[in-house]
Amino acid sequence: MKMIERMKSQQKLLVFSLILILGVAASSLIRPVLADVPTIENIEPWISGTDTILNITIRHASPTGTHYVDRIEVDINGSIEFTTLFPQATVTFIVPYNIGEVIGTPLVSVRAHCTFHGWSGWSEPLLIPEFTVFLLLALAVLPMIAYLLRSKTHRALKNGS
Amino acid sequence: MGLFNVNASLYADLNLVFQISILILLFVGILIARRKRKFKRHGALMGIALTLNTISIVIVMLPSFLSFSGLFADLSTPAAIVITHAVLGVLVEVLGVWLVANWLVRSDNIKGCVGKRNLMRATLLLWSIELFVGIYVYIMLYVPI
Ligand code: HEM
Repeated sequence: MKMIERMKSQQKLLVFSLILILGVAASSLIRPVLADVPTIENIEPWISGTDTILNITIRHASPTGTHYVDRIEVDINGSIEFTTLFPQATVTFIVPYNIGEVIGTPLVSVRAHCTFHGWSGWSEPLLIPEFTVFLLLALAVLPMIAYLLRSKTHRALKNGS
Repeated sequence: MGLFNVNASLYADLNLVFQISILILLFVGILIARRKRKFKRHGALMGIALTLNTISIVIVMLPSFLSFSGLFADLSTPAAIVITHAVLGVLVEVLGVWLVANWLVRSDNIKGCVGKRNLMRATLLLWSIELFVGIYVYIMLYVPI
């Protein structure tokens, strides 16, 4: 009698172990994507005085007081700079980053660090144009010259006819 | 998007509901043993709860834990809480498997199970604490300030 009971128990243990092992094996096949690594959505350079500022748009889902983007790194032609950030209130946010006066046309790329999920990948390298004062002046003056020329020819044509 | 929180993923919210349901199942199992004295049914319910819990760890919590590469770079408070949660979770799991397996080996010997009453109580206490730590992990991850 006892022998039969023991065999039944062993059978149950076997079934329980099998269910547990099968459950684990089957569930490990399902891999939900929970990782919430930030992504660099856009980098927009603009000029303030002689400095170039990068407006870095970052997306990071579910920001909270402990789960947020706390650091970004900016790679300017291989030299890496960083800045630390405070918790964000929105999923998409813009970080202005001053890279100073640009000489030449450096390649810039950015990555962001989440307090829980670590680093994003580096963004696609972006060629930063050299905004010299001369270039800026030229950019401002050229449309004016074009306008003047256009109105002059317009007037000449009118007078001719 | 989650069930109750736009910040959370559906998996996280489902896991939250699932974990609370498993704890309710555990308490139902305890009532069955205490009030109705149906020890075999009690054991079976505990086995089911344990299996469901294992599945939820493997599907949701373990992959999530492994994706926390940023957390362990600096062992601050959030990291300490998540590590405590993981260690306590594994301990609860080991205790649960030990209790259920022991009962299954000798399911006719209810006295042997009664002797492990204190271990069962400790496991239930740890399991309940673990659920609260899990809810705190959820708040840290998904509830905006
Ligand atoms: C008795 C065992 C356990 C209980 C009752 C429990 C409970 C919970 C609850 C209620 C949550 C919140 C829901 C969620 O965010 O998904 C949670 C989250 C979490 N738990 Fe557990 N847990 C247990 C075991 C474990 C173990 C063993 C690990 C480590 C491998 C773990 C790691 C995590 C992680 C990383 C999260 C966050 C999941 C996410 O990204 O949303 N838990 N746990």
